[in-house]
Amino acid sequence: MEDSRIESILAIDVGAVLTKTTLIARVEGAFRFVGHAEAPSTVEWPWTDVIAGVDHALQQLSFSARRKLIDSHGHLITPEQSSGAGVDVCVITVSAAGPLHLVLMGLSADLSVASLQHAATCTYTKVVDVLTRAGSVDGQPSAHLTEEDRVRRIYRARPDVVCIVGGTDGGADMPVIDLVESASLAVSLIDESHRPRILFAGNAALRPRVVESIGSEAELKVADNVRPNVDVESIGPAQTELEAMYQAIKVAQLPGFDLLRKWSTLPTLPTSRAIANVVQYLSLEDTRKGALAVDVGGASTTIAAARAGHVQLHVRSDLGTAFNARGVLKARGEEAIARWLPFEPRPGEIQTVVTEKELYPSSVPQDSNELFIEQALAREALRLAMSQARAAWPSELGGPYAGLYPTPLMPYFEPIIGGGSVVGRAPRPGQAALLLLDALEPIGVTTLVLDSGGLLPALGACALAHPLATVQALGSSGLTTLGTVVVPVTTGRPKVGETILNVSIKYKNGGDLDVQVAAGSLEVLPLPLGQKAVLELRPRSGVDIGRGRSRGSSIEVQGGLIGLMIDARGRPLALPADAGKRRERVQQWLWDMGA
Amino acid sequence: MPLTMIQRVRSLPAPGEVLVKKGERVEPTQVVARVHQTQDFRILDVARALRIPRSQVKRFMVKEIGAAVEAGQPIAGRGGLFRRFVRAPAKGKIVAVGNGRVLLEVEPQLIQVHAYLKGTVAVVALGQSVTIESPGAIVQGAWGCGGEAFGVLRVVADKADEPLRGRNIDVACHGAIVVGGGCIEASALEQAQQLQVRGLIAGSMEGELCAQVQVLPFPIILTEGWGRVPMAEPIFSLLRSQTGREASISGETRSRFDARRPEILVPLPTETKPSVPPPPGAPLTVGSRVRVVRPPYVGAVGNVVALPVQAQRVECGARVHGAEVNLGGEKGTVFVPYVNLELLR
Repeated sequence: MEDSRIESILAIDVGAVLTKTTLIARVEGAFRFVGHAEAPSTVEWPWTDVIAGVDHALQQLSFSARRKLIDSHGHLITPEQSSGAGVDVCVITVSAAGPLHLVLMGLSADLSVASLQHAATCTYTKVVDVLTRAGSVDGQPSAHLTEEDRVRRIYRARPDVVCIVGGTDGGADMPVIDLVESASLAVSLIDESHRPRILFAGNAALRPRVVESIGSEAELKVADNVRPNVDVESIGPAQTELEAMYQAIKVAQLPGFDLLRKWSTLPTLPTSRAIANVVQYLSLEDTRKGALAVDVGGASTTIAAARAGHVQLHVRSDLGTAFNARGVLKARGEEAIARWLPFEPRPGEIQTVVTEKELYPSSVPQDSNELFIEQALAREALRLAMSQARAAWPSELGGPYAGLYPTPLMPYFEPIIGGGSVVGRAPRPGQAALLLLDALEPIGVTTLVLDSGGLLPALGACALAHPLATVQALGSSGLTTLGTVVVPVTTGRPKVGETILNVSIKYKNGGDLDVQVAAGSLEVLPLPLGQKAVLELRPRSGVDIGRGRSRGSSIEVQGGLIGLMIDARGRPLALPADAGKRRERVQQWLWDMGA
Repeated sequence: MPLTMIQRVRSLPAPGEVLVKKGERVEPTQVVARVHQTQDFRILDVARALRIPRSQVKRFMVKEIGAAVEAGQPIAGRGGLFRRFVRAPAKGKIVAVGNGRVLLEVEPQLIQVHAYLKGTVAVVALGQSVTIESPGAIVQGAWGCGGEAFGVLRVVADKADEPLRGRNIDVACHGAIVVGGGCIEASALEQAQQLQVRGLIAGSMEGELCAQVQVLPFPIILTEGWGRVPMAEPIFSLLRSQTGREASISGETRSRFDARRPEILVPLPTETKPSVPPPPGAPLTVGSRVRVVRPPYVGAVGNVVALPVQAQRVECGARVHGAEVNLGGEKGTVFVPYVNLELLR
């Protein structure tokens, strides 16, 4: 359908825990966010049919938007009827499918395989084995593997895809062909119904020999070399192939998805890619600023960062707050979770919440202790995903702080958008803001935005159908501004209580406020949603508020649900070692944020 | 469900052999299907061992593709002055010859699938699976671990909130599936192991015992979940009414990708054939019997008395849609988010 004829777009996001539906339609000449509804996903037993969850969500959306969407046969009405029923376009994003299981093979763990690992994190994947000839994997030096070892490990891992890299373009050949032959032999041993596909993204000169070696043993996909030169990493084409394989192998297997796919006007997208589309657009609005979106879902955690249109997407399919809450607990341990709690958990209490979330992923905490444990799990999922993502980010994403401080700080991003049910649905906005500040440790002057309805995937998917729809709908969408946050940073640790920043606020609707910000404090100053103010920031000598050390600034800022936040707790954030003092401090921060 | 038609599909991990016929009566421990599955293989570089060109290996094979070989048996060789042989390193089958090498599948492992449920074979999917059915009672647990077991149910608690302690488990529990009331205590785990019970069923268990129970040689089923929660009264009454009967239990719990919940199946003799459980999707209505799955009322069972249109605020401050549920006793009528309710059938 031509862009100009599109009047309405329905976006369906099938998540592991929730299925969300969003309606965007042209109202008085511009696309507007019209309605949103969600229902528990029905991928798993006892439903085992994605359509049931979609149907429940659409019934609610029909009711709230007063638009008939489903006909008497249970099919989506499309295109939009003169009566106003139905929609012109339907776009679908999916994160409900299990991760794509990968075996990675390459010559050097530190070069080509490291690049392949970066590529693999762009979508919902799980690396089940890494076979290399040299270097180290996860800190362990690679053992010498015979062909029999390689074949045995692939056979036992039963991956969905065997990814092979190695050699610069025109470089090493025989060692790479050896790997290809091992993979070919291993997959030929696996029953045809479960036979893995092979992705080759190594020395481009070897492609004809790779095609010959694999023959008809397996379905072969070829992508550009992830390391065409020793100094160059090029993972985009491999990422595209992996995303396509996720769709073809995992999403296609979702029960009932065949029928749902027929509703879609465009190819389905992984949810993480749709989120990345929005971040990419936002980063182009002001190329000096980066944009960051984080989403802690029930089964996965997504970090999408972009600067000047260049996106870095990082997905952890083993970290989440429901199905994969145990993954967070396993990776970080109980102590790491407990350090964010304002109370001392009973023995086994964290385990109990993790199990409840695994068994009843769409359930919600009713009492405060369980709520804080879920939020602590989200903090640790984000911190872990972020530290891994940052290790793979190229230097151009570093922004003005890159290399300035002994401990690498978070690059500068504005805005920072937080999503996922635990973040987006925190009962109080202060809890969501504190969670994002603790987990991401942003710097400079930035804006915190909350995606409380999980609309980012919908907006990102709409961009495929009608880019203007995304641009116009962003302004009217359900994204909520939490407020502006100012984070002064220093090279050393100033004494707690010492003034490090003077702030003068001139409200646009009248009134002034002067505040002295003490090191170690977390302040919230009034600046309601819809109001504007001019901030005069005068940092103490050596303190940086994003304009360079000791340099002050005058900036206009917008209000938000919380107001103006000044996070002077220091970077990296340090928690008291003593458990009692730590709990007092965490409670104080919650009070400071009105949480 | 006190009485329904239980059906369980027993599948092979790979195409194999089904050993029973439709309509046949089966016992829980009876093998109903089996398959030989490859566990390992060897790659033998015959060209190098015989010092011959890779392209000529097929000429020197003394066993063909598909041939079974014993350990030490020659599979390729050359005669003459420099007589050499390549021998099979283990018992197995030759599955491929190419590029100078021979691929030997080492003797595959026999995988057997048991009936699990005492009943009748209802469906046979040739070479793949068997469906066993029986009238009986089903109790679905919240969490479990360990595999499957079969035995006589022995209820050792008088009340649904009575903790399961070591002293409750006596010699009469040897070889039985022991049912407690409330929370399983550490002493019960030790005693159960010593007396070689077939399984433990109780309302709940403290999270700190999680690692300990994972390594026990028998399945554990928690009907309500973690913490110190009594068994739901209807479940306790049902199990107590079945004491002395044979039951099949499975502790397998998976929340995603072929999700599984732990279960207790009690086959029952009946004159009439009960109906198969209805598919999910029944709407929650006033009068529905529900179970709460999250604190502070976790494990409590009650009836829905109202479905407020407006979202309401719960203790943690969140505003959520839910139902007013009469839990009886001191708890009375409470508001519970919809997503924290399980509809009982």
